Amino acid sequence: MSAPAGPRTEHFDCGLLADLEDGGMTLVEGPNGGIGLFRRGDTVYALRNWCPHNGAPVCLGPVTGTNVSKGGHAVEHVRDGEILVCPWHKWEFELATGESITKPVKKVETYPVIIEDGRVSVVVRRIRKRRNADTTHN
Amino acid sequence: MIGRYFYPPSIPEWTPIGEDDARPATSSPELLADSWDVAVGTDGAILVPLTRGLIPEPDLGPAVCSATNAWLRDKWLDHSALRDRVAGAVRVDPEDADAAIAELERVAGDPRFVTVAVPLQGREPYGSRRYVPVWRKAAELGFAVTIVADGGCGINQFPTMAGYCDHYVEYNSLLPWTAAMVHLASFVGGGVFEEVPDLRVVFLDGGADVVFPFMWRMDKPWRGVRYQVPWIEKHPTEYLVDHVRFCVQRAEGAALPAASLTSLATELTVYGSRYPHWDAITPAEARAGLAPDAAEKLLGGAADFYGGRFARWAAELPTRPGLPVSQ
Repeated sequence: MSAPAGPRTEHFDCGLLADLEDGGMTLVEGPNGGIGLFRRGDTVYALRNWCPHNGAPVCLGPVTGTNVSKGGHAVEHVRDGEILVCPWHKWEFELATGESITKPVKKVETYPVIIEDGRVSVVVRRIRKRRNADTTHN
Repeated sequence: MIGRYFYPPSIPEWTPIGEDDARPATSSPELLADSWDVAVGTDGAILVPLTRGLIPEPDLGPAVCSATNAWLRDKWLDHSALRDRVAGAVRVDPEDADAAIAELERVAGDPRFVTVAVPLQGREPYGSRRYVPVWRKAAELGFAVTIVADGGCGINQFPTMAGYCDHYVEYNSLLPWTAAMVHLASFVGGGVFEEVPDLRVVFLDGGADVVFPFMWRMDKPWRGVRYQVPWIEKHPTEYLVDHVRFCVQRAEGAALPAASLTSLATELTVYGSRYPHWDAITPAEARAGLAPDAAEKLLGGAADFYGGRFARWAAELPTRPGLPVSQ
């Protein structure tokens, strides 16, 4: 999807698509803090590296599936490869949307991704005074 | 001497009839009837017979329970002096689920058995899967489950991660509320309250003063470990009000035990005297310091929670005249 830079947003260049680890996670230092880039073929998901639970570097966690109850103690493992698990307290988030399975009102912030001519950029909010940017928190 | 190890030698385990009469007050139906208005002071009571310990021998446990239930019915529930005011707890051995279910079905036709009693001492926490058929049958037949400290013979598990206590004062302070919390955590962690939605559990030996701090500790990680226990559908604390109660206890430390609880914890209390145990608590002592509506709920709220067979029995109970506190 395409989102032109506006008065409140800017495009942050993340380099070449080919340089992003396919199937893995590449961490970049955005203007507002760390951003995890998850390349899956020609699709890239961009998530803020900050867990809404306690501020953990959520993008460093494994990407797995999740368990759902089938009634009684029967459990099924589903959605393999779609769930980002926070390394600190194991909260689960949908990779594609940042929505939380663990506590649906909480969400990992995501960014629109633009891929043009083999370059990847993300759309971030332009913050005039970056007082909340925690660049030590990768 | 071995049998007295856990009890200070200067205090008899049971309340005697009086200063000049050392017989335990419930050593016969006649003695209980005679001392009722002063010592028991309620319209009715559930007689919980003890089977004295966690019995490891597989055939002996259920046999002791069956015999105890028959003895309770024949000697106490049928007795002319008590018939108008007592109901019974049916003992089962949860270690043998089949035998326990058979015993429940055997007594189900007798409306004077109003609750199932199992020992606080267990081989495993009671939310473990092999016990669930017993709880399911109990709920199906309208029995709430009463968990009662019941030792003296048999075996005891290691009480703590740090082993055994050396002295009675340590033992009495730590146990049995820790065991109650272990069972409670197990019911929640095993999804038992989801699997048996009508299950109601009463801890006869207290724990209302510690349950919330404990359950908040369970609330904290449960979201993060959801993938391990997806059958837990809500906060652990949210299961309490529908499924769990604790009897008020003098053993819980304050001189006015009910008044010392937070209003939150008071929601989870019911009156249970543990008479004639030496730290039994009368209705007047239990309600001391409570506002009138809280006192009313404490003393009369058991039927609402137990429901089922207990509520039916309690509804038929005649009011005893002249009691200082009426149920």
